[in-house]
Amino acid sequence: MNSPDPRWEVIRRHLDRQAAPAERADFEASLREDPAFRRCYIRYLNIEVALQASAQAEYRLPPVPPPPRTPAWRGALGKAAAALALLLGLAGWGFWPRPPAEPEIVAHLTALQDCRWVHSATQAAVGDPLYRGQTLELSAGRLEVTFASGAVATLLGPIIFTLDSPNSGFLTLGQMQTRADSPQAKGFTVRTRTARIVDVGTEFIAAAAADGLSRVDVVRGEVVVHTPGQRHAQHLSQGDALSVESGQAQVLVRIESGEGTAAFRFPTLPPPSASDAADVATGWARAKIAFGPQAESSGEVAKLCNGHAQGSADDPGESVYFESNQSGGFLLDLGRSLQVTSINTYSWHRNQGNQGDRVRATQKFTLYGFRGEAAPPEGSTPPGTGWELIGRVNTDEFFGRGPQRSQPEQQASSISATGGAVGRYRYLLWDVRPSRAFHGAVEDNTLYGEIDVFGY
Amino acid sequence: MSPSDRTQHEHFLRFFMELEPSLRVFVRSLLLSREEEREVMQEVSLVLWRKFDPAMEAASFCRWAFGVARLEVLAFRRDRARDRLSFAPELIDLLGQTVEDGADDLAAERRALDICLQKLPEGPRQLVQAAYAPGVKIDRLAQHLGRSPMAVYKTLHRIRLSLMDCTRRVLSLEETA
Repeated sequence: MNSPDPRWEVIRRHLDRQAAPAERADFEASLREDPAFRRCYIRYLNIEVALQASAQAEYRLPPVPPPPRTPAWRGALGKAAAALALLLGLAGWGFWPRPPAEPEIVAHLTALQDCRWVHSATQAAVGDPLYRGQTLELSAGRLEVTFASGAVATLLGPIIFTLDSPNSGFLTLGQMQTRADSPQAKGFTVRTRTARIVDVGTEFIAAAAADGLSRVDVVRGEVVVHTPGQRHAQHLSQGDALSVESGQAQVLVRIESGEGTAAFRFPTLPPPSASDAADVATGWARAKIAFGPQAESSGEVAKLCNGHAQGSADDPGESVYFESNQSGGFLLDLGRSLQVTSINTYSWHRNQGNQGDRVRATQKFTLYGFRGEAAPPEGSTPPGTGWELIGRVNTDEFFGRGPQRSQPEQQASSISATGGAVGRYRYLLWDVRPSRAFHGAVEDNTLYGEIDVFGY
Repeated sequence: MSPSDRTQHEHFLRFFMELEPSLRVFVRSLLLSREEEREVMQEVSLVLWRKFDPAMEAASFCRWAFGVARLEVLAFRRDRARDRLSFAPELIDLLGQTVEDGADDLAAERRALDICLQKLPEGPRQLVQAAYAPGVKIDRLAQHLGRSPMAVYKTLHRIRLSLMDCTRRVLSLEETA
């Protein structure tokens, strides 16, 4: 089809939603019966989609110099453009549009290190301005963006990040660390698809995974996290980590380190409870090993539901854990289905022989719930029919920033929902993974002391 | 993100970013608006990531991704699309096949488009930038420009056709060079 071919107009009318129903039927018939027309339709859309990407790229790097404030739009520039158009055979547009509004500079690139851009043609240098709406797509490397407010964000590739304003941005994928300690930067906001993280004068790490999981770690100061459907925002302070799962129930994961005594005291999370729905004393709950080899010196699995955790930092008999290098599963039967509102998991370990060995306090598990009242079939493990992902905990990701020996020996994680309940479940399964190795390649397993479930 | 998650993530991004423009063309061919296309592509990328198998070869990933995109478009059209396009399933397959078969040519055309866009005079180039910027509605743009929406639609159409001619010329020059 050459440019004057009237069938291009048919394609345009279809895409611009101007085709009448009868035209649509003809259009579909042509697409079905005429491979050449079909190829033209796809070529036309290819240009359409590429222009879309290109318009984005114009606001990406390399930076576009802002248009003059008072362009001689129909003057010299217009004449020059018209002359160029004639030369290139691109004349005859009917009119020259007025320029769009001047792009607003909201930040500058202040450092780049080994950057590999998703769009290979991208060129960037320290000092380049960044505009409102500009998207930075980095497949590797690190770059530093200083917002007009003074907030400084370090982006780690791979990452996709869009600058929303002089004091905010949208993190689609990847991980970034921000520092917002100037008065103007107070309120610096990072949005993800599942959370809005507002800095109130501090430093935090935000991460967003492709499946919608968002995480925020507070390095110092205080951060407020808003999630959809949540009446009250979550206030996090130094050392807190919060994960937000995507899905109908917005699940929050909070991780805290304890003071390291048998009282299991944490900054905001409660100590182990003897009156929760997972406590054997209630007469309803029962725990069992669903899979995986329990370690020989581990206590019986019921220790997870006895109302208290370990009595000391190295107390294998009061802990439940699996063999090294092995995964395992704790299955909890609540005895009846409940609207589960929160699930707290406690661990404590510091090796008596080597005080620096605290890796076996690390909590690394995925929590699943089984739909309905009936028991999951024997040997059934997620992801399989009936199992629903509730949340993921990996305290290593948060506490792992420093040397292993500086990890907290006592940890608690709490999974809850922003909208009231994470779901109605009778059966819960902790799919537990080994923590990292302290020596060599042997990955030890965590010594869990207590599991508490609250609901109604 | 743990190191193994990060490796898997990078592996996925490599495959996905290579295929993404073709998938987008396919999805757009079945829907009538950029916004709908964006929404569906977001779902497609989520499903692909959630179910991504790192052992997958590029060719299998491509076939699988087109299958996922087809299902996501059907689900979107069933549940949420404002315009009820009634493409028959066999036509959807034909369009998918056309995009897959022509993927190399389409990629070449997109590369040539970069050259053609540089040649585009400032006026049309600014119109393209403004019209394709995220969230821009042609009606509002037309109002801003003091033109009728139809005039803007038709001008953009002429720009696209001209760019297609230009890409053809660039590619044929490359072939003869």
